[in-house]
Amino acid sequence: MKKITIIMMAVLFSSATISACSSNNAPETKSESVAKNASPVEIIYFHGKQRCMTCIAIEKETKALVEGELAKQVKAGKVKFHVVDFSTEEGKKIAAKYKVTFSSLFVVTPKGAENLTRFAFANARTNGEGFRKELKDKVVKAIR
Amino acid sequence: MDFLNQLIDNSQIPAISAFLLGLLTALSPCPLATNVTAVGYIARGCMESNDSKGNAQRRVLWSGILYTLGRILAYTLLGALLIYIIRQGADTFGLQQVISEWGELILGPALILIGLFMLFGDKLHLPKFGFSGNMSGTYSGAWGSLVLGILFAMAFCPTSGLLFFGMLIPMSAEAATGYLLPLVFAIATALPVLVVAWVFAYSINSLSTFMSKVTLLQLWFNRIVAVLFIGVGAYYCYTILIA
Repeated sequence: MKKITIIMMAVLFSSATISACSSNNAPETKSESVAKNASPVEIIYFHGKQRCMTCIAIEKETKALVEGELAKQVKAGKVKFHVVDFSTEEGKKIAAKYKVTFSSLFVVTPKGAENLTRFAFANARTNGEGFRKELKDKVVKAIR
Repeated sequence: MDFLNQLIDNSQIPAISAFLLGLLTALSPCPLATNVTAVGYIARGCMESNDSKGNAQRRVLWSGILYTLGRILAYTLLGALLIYIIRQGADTFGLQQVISEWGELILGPALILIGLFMLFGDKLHLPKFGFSGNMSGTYSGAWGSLVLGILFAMAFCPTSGLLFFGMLIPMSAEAATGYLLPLVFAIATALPVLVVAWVFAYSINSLSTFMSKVTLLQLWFNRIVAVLFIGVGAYYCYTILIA
């Protein structure tokens, strides 16, 4: 009988401990899942095998922005930068989703994808600073 | 270039926008290699070893006109097809994908072949498709310019792809005179090449007459243009196959 009482007490104690632990973890798990569910803003740069000077400048300037002024947001998982080569099989599938056949730049937010190709071609090579500023503004606005 | 971009943004007349987009395509550094080869090809008609000066001038003029006609044919037919597809409410993605892939693949080997024809075509007695190394006669080499115009127009580089597929075609699909806009665009893409080729041709022509070494200059000019074709073709093959 004494044995049974000890076993029951042990079971009760352990279950109480487990529930206490789980209740302690609950808010963290929730916040984690919120962070995971909030899709990051994605910057996608597409290119093929043939790359012009402007196309190379678009990638260079975007990379500089992502690694510089937006580094904090990238580290926090709020911004992601992808370079997609649509001459590869994998790249072709992503390019088909955005209907891309030539070098392009997209900013994808939960609201949808914005095609910034024309803006990028007009600015990346000749006005790098202006290009980074405008792209940053768009990304930061989308994060909010 | 910034100035042209601003003009395009502010232009309210589709025909002017199409013309400016064509100029922007021709002046952007992206199709520079093909433009330089086109200038060389058109200008090489200026040599007048066996025929008169007037004949050589007409040859350069015709070569330039046929080059422009080639671009007009390519852009107008492709443009009409794309505009029709968009107006039917369908998607042009598949067609664009085929053109972007094949344009890249064909350009390099085609340029190498044309260069080889120009160098060795006369010795081999093969059909020359207008790309003869021998430049006597008014229309000699001029039909090659037509083929070159079509080929260079269809070989879209990233900038010309954006300007044609991304800007001109959507604008044309909405405009009432849409089917004519690719024609205006095509003329504008050829214009800078024509001006440079004609100035270049007449300068060389005057120089060769001045130096009285026409035959020698003709021989070397032909060879340089042929090597230019092979070099640019090899560069395109390199970017597609290896890079």
